[in-house]
Amino acid sequence: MRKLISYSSLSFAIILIALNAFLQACSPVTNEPFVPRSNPETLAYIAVSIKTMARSMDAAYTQHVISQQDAVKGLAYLQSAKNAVSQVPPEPVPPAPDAPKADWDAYKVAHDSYVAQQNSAISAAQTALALAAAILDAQEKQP
Amino acid sequence: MNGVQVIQILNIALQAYAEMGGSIMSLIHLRETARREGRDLSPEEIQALLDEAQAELDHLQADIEKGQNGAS
Repeated sequence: MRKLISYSSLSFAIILIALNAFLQACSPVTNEPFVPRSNPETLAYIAVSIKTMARSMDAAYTQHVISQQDAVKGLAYLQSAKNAVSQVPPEPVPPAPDAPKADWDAYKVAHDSYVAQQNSAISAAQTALALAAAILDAQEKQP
Repeated sequence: MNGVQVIQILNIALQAYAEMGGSIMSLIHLRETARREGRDLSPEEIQALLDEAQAELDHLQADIEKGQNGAS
């Protein structure tokens, strides 16, 4: 039985590695490391992580590996991650090169605020994803 | 936890790993295309990925609701 449980620990370790290693994910074909190098790339990576984790959660629920209560909680975390990313406002458009300095100053303030909101959304989404992963991970601790 | 559940969990984990690998390949392709065009990933490309994620979330929600209706 211990051996069986260790197999399940290994399997969820694989899920966690696949879904949470934001800086170390690799393509199995090209072997090129995918390291997000910008906020848009991180947002895109979060989006595919949500998609993959939602599928895993669905499979785990329909195969009765996790309870309905856990599935509802997991859905809420994943939805919250998705909403956090969706709520990032559009990037402000820079003024014309010959625009007055006041316009450029206003653009700089708007752009700083945009980047701050992006960073905040990334942080919130990563936290929510970790909470959803913990629901799947908890299975290994069950007797 | 019985043997069947362990196999199910292992199967789910392997599927997740394979799907993540495929998704990473798509992301790399998107990034390379954007780089060739001298830009970062566009909001539209990110939105398309978010729409796919939302479709999976809707699917999960539908399955949960089905389960709740079946249980009631």
